Amino acid sequence: MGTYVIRRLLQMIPVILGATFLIFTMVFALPGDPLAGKCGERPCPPAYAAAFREKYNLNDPLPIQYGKYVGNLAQGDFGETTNGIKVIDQLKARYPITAKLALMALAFEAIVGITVGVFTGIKKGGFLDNLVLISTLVVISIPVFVVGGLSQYFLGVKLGLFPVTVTSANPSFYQLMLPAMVLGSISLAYISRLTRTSLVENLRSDYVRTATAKGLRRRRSIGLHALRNSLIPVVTFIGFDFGFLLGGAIVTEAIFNIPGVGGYLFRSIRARDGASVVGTVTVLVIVFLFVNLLVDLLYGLLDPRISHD
Amino acid sequence: MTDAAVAEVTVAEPRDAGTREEERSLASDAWRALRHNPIFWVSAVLIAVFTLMAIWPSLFTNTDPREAILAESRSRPGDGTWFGRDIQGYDIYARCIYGARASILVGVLTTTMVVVIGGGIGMISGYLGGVWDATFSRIGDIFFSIPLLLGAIIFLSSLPEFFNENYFLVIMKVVLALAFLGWPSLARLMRSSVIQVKPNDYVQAARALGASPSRIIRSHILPNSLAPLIVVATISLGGYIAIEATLSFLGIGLQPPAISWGIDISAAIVGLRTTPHMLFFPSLFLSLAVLGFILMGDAVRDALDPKTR
Repeated sequence: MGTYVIRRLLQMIPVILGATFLIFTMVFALPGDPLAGKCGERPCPPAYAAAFREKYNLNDPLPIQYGKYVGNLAQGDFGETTNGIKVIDQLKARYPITAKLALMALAFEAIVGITVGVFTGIKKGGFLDNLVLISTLVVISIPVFVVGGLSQYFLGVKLGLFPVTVTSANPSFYQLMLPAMVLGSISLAYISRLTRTSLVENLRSDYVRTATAKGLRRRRSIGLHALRNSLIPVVTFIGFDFGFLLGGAIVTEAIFNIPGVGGYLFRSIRARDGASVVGTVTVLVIVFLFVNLLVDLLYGLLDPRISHD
Repeated sequence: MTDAAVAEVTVAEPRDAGTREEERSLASDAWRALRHNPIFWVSAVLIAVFTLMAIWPSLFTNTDPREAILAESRSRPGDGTWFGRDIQGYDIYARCIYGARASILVGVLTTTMVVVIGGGIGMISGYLGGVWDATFSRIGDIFFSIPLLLGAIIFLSSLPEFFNENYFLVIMKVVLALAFLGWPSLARLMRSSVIQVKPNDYVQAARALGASPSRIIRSHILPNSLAPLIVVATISLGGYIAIEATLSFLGIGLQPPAISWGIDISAAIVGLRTTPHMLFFPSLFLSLAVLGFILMGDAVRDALDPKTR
């Protein structure tokens, strides 16, 4: 177990380096000059321009710029935007909000999705099963920005059940509830279908028959034996979904006006603000990799046949 | 979306040459099952209609989608037009018809590129193994760790102005962004199914008979490992259409002279309270197109997987 974790952690390093390099290169290629418009209606004085280029390493070729960036990053320095704002401060202020949103979405989709999946899986082919199959298909095929707009209108404006937009810099649980449900809606459909398919398959397996034969109550044989093994593909999906959620947060945060990392990232890309983009994505990639490591470790807990030794 | 499909799909059993009684290939078996599946026909009709719409939009409407009648701006459905007019006075019905082209083009071209690149790389790493496998898998991990939507936004922003010159280049811009980040999931899938097929007796026999690697791949491995790839590619096609719309919604994908459902939805979401029809119709078309491809993928998967029959 220990060696497995260490090996996986070591394997992460090239992935993190590669992903940051990829993002760095793309940001490097962003058209536009950070000095344009910096000094108002006139071009910047040469001395200022030279100092500016020196400070942000703009004179170096790409590999050296990247090397310097990674060197700073390894010391926990995320650099500054060209406006002199420390990226780390922005990330510290915004990541907790997005994390809260993503975790709420994750909890919502996991709890509701697995419950729905279990109920439909037990009674395969029943009315509820067909209803859920059709409604999940509908949900999957509607893009998240349409779901967001519609639910904002109907649940927020018309019925007044939820706040329409987030108005504070530190949104409450209640304010984030609707955005989290919107964000998790598509994955909710996938999770319920995945749980259903996997449970149906496992209910036919020998160990469930044994459990029933030795007199376990139905609830126990499904809950303890079948469901636990059926959760493996679901947990895998949730791990991958974490990345999707953080990407989807860009849209959800735009619709609901949430001051999280998605909107920040989007504005930074539009403003050609390289340091913010690379910093945000780096943190995101690291979080994504750790979540997936966690998922792989969970396999062993869910299915005793899988071991990491 | 692709991730879900990858997790959900079960690799079709490679056909076992020894136990065949009559000449029935996997493909003809699958076709037999498909023919009796109403879902297949529903999705086939949806896809056919949207493809026709993309190729000859003038078959469906005589109205020019760029003909702005400002006097009738935001008129309701039935006031002289079927679906009403949007804020610019465009006929929404015509816009919906002409919008199909962008979505179908992006979906089909992206899927083709992803299948060729991902399938090719997956084949190489699965068949050759060793250093090739390790290299390509690690490169795939890097791309995989960047969320698709997020990476696409950065990629699109960093492309040079050259790509905004004409309609085809603008479409290609979106296609390149999605294919650039979307190939690893298909490569992983292809790799795993090639690894499953490779140790089979018929492959060993072909090698013993002195068949060249290209012949082994072409006539033995490829036909037997392609099924999961086709299923996931079909489902992802729907996903790519949704992502194209999302990018256009965010203002990064296609730009206004081009006609796209995403652009129209983005423009309509402002008037959600007063003119919901402007949002409803493009969303409906978009969702139906996505639904068509997802249903098709589902039906093909069920047909190819002997376990669900």
